[in-house]
Amino acid sequence: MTIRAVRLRTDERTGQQVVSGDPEEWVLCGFVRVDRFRAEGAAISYTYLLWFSTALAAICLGIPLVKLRVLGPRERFSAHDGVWVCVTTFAAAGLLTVIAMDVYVFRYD
Amino acid sequence: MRFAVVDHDGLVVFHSDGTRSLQESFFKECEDDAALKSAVQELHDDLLTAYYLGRPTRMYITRLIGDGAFADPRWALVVFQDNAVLETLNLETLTLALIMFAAFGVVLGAVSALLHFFAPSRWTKWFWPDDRKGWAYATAALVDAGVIALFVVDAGRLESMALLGRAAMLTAGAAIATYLIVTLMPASSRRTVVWRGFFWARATFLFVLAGVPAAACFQTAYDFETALLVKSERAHEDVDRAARSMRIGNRVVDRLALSTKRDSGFGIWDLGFGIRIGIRGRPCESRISKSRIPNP
Repeated sequence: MTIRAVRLRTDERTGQQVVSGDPEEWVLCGFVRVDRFRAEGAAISYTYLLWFSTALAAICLGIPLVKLRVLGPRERFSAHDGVWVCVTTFAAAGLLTVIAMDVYVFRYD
Repeated sequence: MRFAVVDHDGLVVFHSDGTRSLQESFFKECEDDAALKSAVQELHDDLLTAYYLGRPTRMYITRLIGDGAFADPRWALVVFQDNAVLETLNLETLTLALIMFAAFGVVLGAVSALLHFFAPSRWTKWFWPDDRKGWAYATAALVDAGVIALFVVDAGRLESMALLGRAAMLTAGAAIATYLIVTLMPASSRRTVVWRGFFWARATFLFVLAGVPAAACFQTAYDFETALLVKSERAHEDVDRAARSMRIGNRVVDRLALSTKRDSGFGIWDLGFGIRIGIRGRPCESRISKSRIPNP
């Protein structure tokens, strides 16, 4: 449906009401702008976005540490690996602190 | 941020959106949320999230206490805000905090690289497990723990920018102190197992280097984003106040017009801004003369 050049999505509910002996049929219509309906329908919750980013960061930061853990006695641990372990440990410590503060400040029910 | 005064049955006695006052059932609009009903009917303070007008909304409920005849009307004041605002604040705070922390990481990485390439090796390879330095590790761990405690105390009383400066100072000071303790403290002649002491020294050192700056970055970002939100709310407040004054003026004048229209000798006068008033005879003030609406 288009009203004043704005496309609207309608949701109809029909029902009957008896007024002074004569049954009348009523239609209740709800309107919402189509662009708003689509935008809200396709929107991803910020909370899910944050959880997804946290999981991705945990995987990325965990890789050098996992490599360190599964390193065999005959395998070489290069200076390059050492730098990555330092960087990921530093980043993980900072990220954990930020997440802890975020959960404390923005705690939801 | 909006608010509503709600009575025991959920009827909105007063709403920041004037069209909803004495019209809306707050309980129904909140889909009969049990926690909200309990807080309003029992009149106890509560902070909760409920669906209001179909959207998740953060609410704070408290008992409203007045004066005189309205000393205890058993009404609840509900202050609420759409969760989308809080979620946006959360996301922006996190983004800004992580950008600041990444910038700090880049600076630290650059300093480490310079030390690695240009400084002697005793400056870069000094924090390795040595079983004759148990006391040095214990002392370093205590000093770093003290620095962390000092930062926590400062975080509660300093402004964000001052806290950021204090965090930088504490981090640099703790790094230098740890270096001096570990390298200059004389090694013991007795060899002991030092893994626990070394672990604590390393863990506290890591937290001083990464955790303290991260916490300071988060606090600064949070204060900045909150200040922006408050500024935005104040800008809307002025508009809301003007609209409220207009609404009250319209109501008063409409009531006055209704009560005086019964008398035949009255005319209805337009004050401008959509305000009309009924006055007997000629208008006595120059501003009351925009246009005369004839009596029916």
